[in-house]
Amino acid sequence: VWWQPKGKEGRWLEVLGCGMVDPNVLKNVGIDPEKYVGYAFGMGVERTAMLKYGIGDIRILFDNDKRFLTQF
Amino acid sequence: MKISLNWLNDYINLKDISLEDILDKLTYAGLEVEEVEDHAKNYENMIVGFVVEAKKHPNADKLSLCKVSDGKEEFNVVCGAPNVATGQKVVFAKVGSIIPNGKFKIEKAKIRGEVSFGMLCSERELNISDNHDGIMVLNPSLKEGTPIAEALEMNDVVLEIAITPNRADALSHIGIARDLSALFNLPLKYPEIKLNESGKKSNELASVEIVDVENCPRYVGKVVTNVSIKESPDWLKKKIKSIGLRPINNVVDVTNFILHEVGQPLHAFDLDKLNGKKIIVRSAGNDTKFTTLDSKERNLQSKDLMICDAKRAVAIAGVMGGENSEVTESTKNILIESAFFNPSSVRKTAKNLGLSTDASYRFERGTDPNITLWAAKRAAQLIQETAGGEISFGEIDEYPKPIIKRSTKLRFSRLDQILGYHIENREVENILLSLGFEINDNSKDELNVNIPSYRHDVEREIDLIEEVARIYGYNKIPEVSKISVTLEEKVDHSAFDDKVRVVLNSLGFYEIIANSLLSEETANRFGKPIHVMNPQSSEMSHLRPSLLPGMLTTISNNLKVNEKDLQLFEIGKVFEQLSETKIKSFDDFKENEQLLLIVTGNSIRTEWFEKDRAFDIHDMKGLVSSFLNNLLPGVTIADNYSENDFAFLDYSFEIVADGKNLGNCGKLKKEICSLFDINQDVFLFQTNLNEIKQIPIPKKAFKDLLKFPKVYRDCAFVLDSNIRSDQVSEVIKENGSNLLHNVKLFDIFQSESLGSGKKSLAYQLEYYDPAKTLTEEEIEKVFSKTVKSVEQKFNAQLRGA
Repeated sequence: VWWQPKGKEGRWLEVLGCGMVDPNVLKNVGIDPEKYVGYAFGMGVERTAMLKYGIGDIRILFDNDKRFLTQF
Repeated sequence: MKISLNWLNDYINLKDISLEDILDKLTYAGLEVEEVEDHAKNYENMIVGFVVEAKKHPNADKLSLCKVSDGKEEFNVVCGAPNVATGQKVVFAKVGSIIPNGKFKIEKAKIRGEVSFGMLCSERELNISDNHDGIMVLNPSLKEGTPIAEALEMNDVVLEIAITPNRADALSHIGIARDLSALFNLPLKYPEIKLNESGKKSNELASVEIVDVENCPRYVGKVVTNVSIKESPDWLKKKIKSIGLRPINNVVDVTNFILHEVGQPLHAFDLDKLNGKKIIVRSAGNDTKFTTLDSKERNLQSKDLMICDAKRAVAIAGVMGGENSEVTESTKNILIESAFFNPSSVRKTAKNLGLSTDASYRFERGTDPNITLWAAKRAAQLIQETAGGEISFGEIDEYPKPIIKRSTKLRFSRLDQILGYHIENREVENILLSLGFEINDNSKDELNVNIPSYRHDVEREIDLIEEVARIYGYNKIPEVSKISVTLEEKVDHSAFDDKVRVVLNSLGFYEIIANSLLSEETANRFGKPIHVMNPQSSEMSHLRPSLLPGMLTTISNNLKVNEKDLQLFEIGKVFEQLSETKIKSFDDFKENEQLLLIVTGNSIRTEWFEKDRAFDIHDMKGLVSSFLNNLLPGVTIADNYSENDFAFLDYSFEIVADGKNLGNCGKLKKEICSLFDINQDVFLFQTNLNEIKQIPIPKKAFKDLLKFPKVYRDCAFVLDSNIRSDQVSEVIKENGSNLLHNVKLFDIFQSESLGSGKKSLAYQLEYYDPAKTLTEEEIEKVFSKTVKSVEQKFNAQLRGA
């Protein structure tokens, strides 16, 4: 996504990774990769939450500090 | 990794491509450009100026007043240099430019009464050298108006590219140029090698023996004799500096240059320092110490691959050369080493030494075994060019087991299937060819492709498909705006968990998330933890058998920041090993979803209407029953004092729903609290969520409202202090008759006046009959029976009877 806070310079921000599932992965779980192909994508909710609420350090989401917990 | 655009142009002509386009295409092809240093920007608004006239400043002895032309206009410029003169070509920094050295901005200024529209610069001001004796006088052939960056060739653009670990082939200028040649359909040009060989043959002047063939599959050596070690020529220094490296001397710079040119790390030995003029490639064995060329002593492991001469080690293979054989000012004869080392061997050695060099970085990721010969020749040629000397005939090439060419097929139909988009066969072939793949065989259905030896990341058909797609451009594959998916109805477990969260939130609890991995020591205290196969660290080596340690750490952290009053919960998976030996099947371990609630600190903080009150077990019991009553409406919840010596609890209550034991609620033992630096009481409730989920919720049915009044009777008993109130209420209930519907303890009184070791428990008994109003006699009858049974059972006395 193009991330541009008001009045600041914008930049491209990676928000999720995606792609075609490697045939080896399908084979290892017993699915014939010749018959089936897969598409996968995943997004970290932490990054999006940080952008939405203006949280600067990702570790704060896992510190479990009461002063953080009571804010949401 | 830094890449200079000017340097790239040696291998591919990018003059007609915009910088924008290069950055975009590289990034989209997987070589992400993170930073761009546009050197020309540093010299914006600075041009070649022509001094039309230079005369003395009327009001200052040491200053000159000049008329400088930019080819279109003339400007008045005051200059303080002693060497400025009419007719010179100079560096004219116009108003608005920023002087690189010092970063100060040039403004229109009045100097001793004369207006000056700019400045003439010295080399130091341009960061070219330390010379500040006078202004920089340029070659008269330069045209006025030319931007300085162009005129002085300081217009390089240096890219910082993030190379992913799979693209070892892209760790050099030619590597990047190759991808660019595929992306822009431009030819890739390798430098030409024209050797001027004379004298003896390399294999007469030196010899190589590979003992450890597995870790050194190929070793190429070439000799150059009679060299003079000195400063590198300008072109070589410039290239080295352009990517942020420091020039050392001609021979060393040549080896560094080739590493960054084609990705083949080279090493130059002083041949005269090699005993027996021999190279032996073997493992360190009993050698335990080695001094590298940075004068640091290193500790070796016996499996480290070493380059040795006939007597001793002279280099750590693929990582760093030794002090005992390095090229110095007095070196005359060089042995160039150009080898292919086993990536995992170099990686292990570098890791053990805690060393990472440009060379080891590349060897670890896999270099090209087939470029070794070319690189050695290139080095010989450049060394002769820059250091003189004689290149010996031929090379030593120890390559006992030549690596077999790999090939794989690519079916066009499979390409279509994976991309969901058709790329013309011709174009597919062209893309592969431009990346260095060879087409062995082609038909209308498939290609048989040889994989170049520098692409360690390509093995299978799917890898070829990836190459085609990324060079073709993922952006060019059109979007599909609709897809249809069949959905399967699955039981949604999260809805239940969310309800748990909402109920707990409204009771004042906050949710935490703790790590499911713990250190072995901590995990062992709370159950039989499962060891993880590839732990990230010793702090995360075992799966948690309980939610307690994570919660206690959280409490501890909060206490440290002065948050002492806490109501917290966590919903999470816990794991326990069931089998004595390694886990082989699902039967050997169990995995459960648990809920842990804790309260600690003050339940009530000092308000104007009441004082602090700390949480106690009754608060916890109350919160747990509110929670369960809300979650399981209509289900009977009871708590029974538990005699179980729970490992962690001082005392506890079993919480029972519908006869099923849901978990224990109690006070955490002080020893466990101190393990986590917690010096206040902690009360907890632990339960298995899967079990709660299974408790059936009774259908709501209306119960007729009582038409007749309830009757209450109070009684207080004096009895031994050690008798529990729930024991007494049990007896009351058992002997209360079916008219008794509720028993409530409303007072506990302890005092010496009752007798030593005695206390008083007061109960309110609630009676009613849904069919009629009860009479005094009826109540009196059942009441006295109840009282008698208590008196008898506990040797108690009714108070104030």
